[in-house]
Amino acid sequence: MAAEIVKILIAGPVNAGKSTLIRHLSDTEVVSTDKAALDDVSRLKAQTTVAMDHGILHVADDLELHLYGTPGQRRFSFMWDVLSVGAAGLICLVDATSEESIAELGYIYDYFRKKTKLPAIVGVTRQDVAGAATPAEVAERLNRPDVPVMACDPRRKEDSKVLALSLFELILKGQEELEESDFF
Amino acid sequence: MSEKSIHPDIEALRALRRALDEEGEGALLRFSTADGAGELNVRRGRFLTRGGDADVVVALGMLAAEPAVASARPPAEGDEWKLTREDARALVIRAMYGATLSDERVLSLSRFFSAMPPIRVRLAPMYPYADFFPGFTPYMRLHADSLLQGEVRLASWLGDVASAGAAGEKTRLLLVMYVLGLIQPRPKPRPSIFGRLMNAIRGV
Repeated sequence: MAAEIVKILIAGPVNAGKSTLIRHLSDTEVVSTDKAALDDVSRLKAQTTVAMDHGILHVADDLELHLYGTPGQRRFSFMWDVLSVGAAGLICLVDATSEESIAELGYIYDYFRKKTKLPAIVGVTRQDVAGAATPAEVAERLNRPDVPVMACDPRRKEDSKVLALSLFELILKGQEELEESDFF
Repeated sequence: MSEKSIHPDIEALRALRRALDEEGEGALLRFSTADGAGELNVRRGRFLTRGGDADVVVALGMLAAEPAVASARPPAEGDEWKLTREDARALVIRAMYGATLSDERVLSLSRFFSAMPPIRVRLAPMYPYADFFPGFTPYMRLHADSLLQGEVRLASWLGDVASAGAAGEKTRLLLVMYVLGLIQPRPKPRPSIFGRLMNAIRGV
């Protein structure tokens, strides 16, 4: 019997930490489609994702979590549509030290929300750098007070896990699987 | 937790918590304390009041300080102005951090919270209040612990304090979280796909 697959998207501007996050959550080697950066991106990193990153977490013989990282550049946005088919949720990452990254987050977030309506959460990276925007400032720029925005350092496995677990918490809430009973 | 074991302060705040629940029907909370009497009109997560912002803060402060909610009934129509759900959250936080909590009260509340069964911490967008919410970072930490461990045991968390002042800060945070519905009983484990995925992520 084929395993049931739950698919999660990890999106965001270039250099936000998407590939790192996928590596932390996968128990197999991550498949990447990195190519040498040729344009402005080359100022940020030597190589960048042009099609996707793909990692898998094997839960059991009958269940797998598939993590798909999207390319950060708009010119590869055709892959955003391809990868979003059948996804259960969306994690957006943004580099809080880059004004360009924060501006691009708005475009990417709106793109996915209009096309997919997926439950979504935003992780704000590089909080350890002086002058970085805070999650509150990023949320204000995003102008979506209903969207959870939280600090995240994808280099730390625990942070990556908290972000993914927060997304599943949102999904479960949407499915009303969690009990909303009161204590007293 | 049985009705008999409810702490009187929690008893006082329970109606406010329920009234602030977005799905709630609303309530007019009447109360009286040694400092005076007042009322809070709350409907679907919003305060409806004929007074001003300061009045609500004072009223909430009194609620936090004195367990004296006398009655609750559906709010009357014709209110003059409204506060949003976000305003309501901000006022709860300001009131809780402005209220006086004696050492005895902190100890009593700490004992109460410590006796609670394991909890889970809900994620809410609290970052807009970070500037005046001293418990913001501990709240996010508690939320992370709740996700990573599947639950939080408050007896352990409250027991790990270095001073009476630290205990007071933790107690205030728990009161805020209680009123805003950020503390929930740990759900019974269910064999759902997403529950299994969350357990797998915890073990990565």
